Amino acid sequence: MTSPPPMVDERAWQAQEQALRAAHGGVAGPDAATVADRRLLRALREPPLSPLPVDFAAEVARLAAPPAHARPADTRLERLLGAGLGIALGAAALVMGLEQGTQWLRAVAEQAPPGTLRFGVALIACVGSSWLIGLLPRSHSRGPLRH
Amino acid sequence: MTDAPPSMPPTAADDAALVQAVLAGAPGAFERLVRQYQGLCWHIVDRMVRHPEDTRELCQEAFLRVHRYLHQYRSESPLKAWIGQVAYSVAKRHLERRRIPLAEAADGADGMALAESVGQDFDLETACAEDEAQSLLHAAIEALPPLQRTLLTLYHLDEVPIGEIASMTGLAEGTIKSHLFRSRKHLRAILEPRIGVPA
Repeated sequence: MTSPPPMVDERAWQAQEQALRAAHGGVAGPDAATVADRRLLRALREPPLSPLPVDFAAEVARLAAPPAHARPADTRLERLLGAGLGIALGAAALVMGLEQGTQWLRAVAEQAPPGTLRFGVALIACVGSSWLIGLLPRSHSRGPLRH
Repeated sequence: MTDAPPSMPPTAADDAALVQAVLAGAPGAFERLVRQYQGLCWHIVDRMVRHPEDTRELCQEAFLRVHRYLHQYRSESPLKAWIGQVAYSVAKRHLERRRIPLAEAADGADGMALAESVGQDFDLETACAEDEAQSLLHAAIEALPPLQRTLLTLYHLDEVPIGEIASMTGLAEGTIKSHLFRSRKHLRAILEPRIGVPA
């Protein structure tokens, strides 16, 4: 990065500003210095700029808001599909559990050492209850953030 | 030019209403905001990078940033200064990535010498005609470093006060005055021998 330029003397700055203002306002006479100031001012007020595209604002607005009409429809469809799949999986699991759950439990009880089934049920109960307790403070803390 | 400024500059209340409308997702509000400030943004970026395609892309990037971070805008400073600041920082980062120096060295050896060389190459006989003098000055302005070009345009074309230019660029007011003073002095020095101004 380059270092800043040396500070300009305030009087010199004011003198230059005054000369340009005078040239712009036509206060000063048409001497060579005033003509130079006028030409300088005109060049500064009409710098060579590349043209701004006519459709620029509309284009940027389109980019900033991608197909807003399409998004909710997509989201609704995704939600419907997700819910449908979840219900189908849950129903299949329930049917299988009702049909063959007793056999599975019996097989596990026969294969595993004595007391394993009871220990497993107790473990599941512990994990489930701590998960349920964990939900309570989270639902409380979320409340104020929504407002 | 297609980016003529509106007849009346927007007030702080106009800006606040526009920002609220954009944040609320009102149809067409963001496009209105872009239309309002596209001229300023374009001038800043174009003066900095001097490349139409890059200018278009960088201006788009600047306004997309404005859209994304508009919720962070606080109406303590004018919206114009805030958007100008975003445009300036986007263009500045672009120059840094391309390793293009933003300003000339403190002793004025780089950019000003280049600007003066434009005058030396110019046809002295024909430069007296006003249009040709304008061409000469425009060529000299183009040869200035990006920062000086941008400051001159903001101050003289967009008529942005020094304080707001300081907010946009992060430069001290004294530094901005110094750049403006020295750039104008050099440009005038190029012009003087052609219209008989005593040195």
